Amino acid sequence: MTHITGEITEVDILREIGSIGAGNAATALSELTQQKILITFPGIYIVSPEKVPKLLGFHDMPVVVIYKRLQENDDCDILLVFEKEEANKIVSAVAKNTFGIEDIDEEMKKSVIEEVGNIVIGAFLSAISNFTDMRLLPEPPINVNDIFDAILEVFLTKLCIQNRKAIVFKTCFKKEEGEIYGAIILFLSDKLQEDLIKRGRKWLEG
Amino acid sequence: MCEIREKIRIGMAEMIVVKNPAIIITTVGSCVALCMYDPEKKIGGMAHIVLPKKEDDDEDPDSAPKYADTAVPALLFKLISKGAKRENIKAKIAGGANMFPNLENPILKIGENNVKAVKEKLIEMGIPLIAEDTGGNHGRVVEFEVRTGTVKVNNIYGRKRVL
Repeated sequence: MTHITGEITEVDILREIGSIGAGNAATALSELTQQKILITFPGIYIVSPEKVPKLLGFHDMPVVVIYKRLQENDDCDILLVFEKEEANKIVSAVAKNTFGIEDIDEEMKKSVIEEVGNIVIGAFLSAISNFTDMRLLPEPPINVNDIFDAILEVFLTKLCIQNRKAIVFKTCFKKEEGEIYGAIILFLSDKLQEDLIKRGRKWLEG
Repeated sequence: MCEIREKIRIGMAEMIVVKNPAIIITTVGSCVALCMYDPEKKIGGMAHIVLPKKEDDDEDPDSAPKYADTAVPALLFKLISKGAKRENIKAKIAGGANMFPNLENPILKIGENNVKAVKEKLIEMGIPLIAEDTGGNHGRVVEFEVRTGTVKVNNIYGRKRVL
């Protein structure tokens, strides 16, 4: 990574853009669940794919992942991750707020969690789109329920095949009392990384 | 007297060989956990294999455990260099899942290809594969107890298999 000014690096620009998206995503999640949701200080990692599981640190946690890929940008993957029990609580809260009932069948739960993914990832991307004036349209969501590292392998294996480093943006959602609630993880393509930095630089230079 | 067994976690593209009563742990989706051991000498090791075949442009000298075609000989060599007898060595494997069965992408077939490549290399090197838990659409937490050669495979649905 090169330095843009004496102090602000490309990593800082990516982190700032990611924070804008994550803040918007947390607001969307707060509205859906009627709870105050905060975000942690975002991390940007540029490492070999094998090092990513240790950096993210979720390992054998049972999770629900809502995965989206960006249209026209095959190498950019976005994961919205919730610990399994938290995902169940979110589904119940959303079902209660929307349909007035907490108990819904499995098929409905799947639809609700995918809709949560649509809304939260949509909020994340639309904030970044507005800030950078870029078109960032995701494909429909796919929902997987499994051990975190086993799901993560799919995205890391893709990078290994392409012999690329992983450019990872991660921020966690937390409740007011500090418990980690979920996370947004973004695997940036080289092209999107370059475009975001270019737009961020333009914004910095006024 | 209760025996203390150290638990050692390995990650993607890592490999370890131990000659103590350790338990080696890894988590796999499409990757394959290759466990090889000498039951007489009680020496065992595990490699976390990511891809079937080493690419020409990978010049990393430590990348042997990453690929099926290089992990099998590397683990065998390391076992023998720690005192295992080649004729005693047996293998067990777990992993090779397709985590996104609804997606159509050739990358998602990698699990199946990993299992195939590991089996081919084991046959080529004359190492008997005595047990496996492979395929499916779920992740696995794999625990290899070196002293007994037992491999425990757990998934998120509560299924526990002992190989």
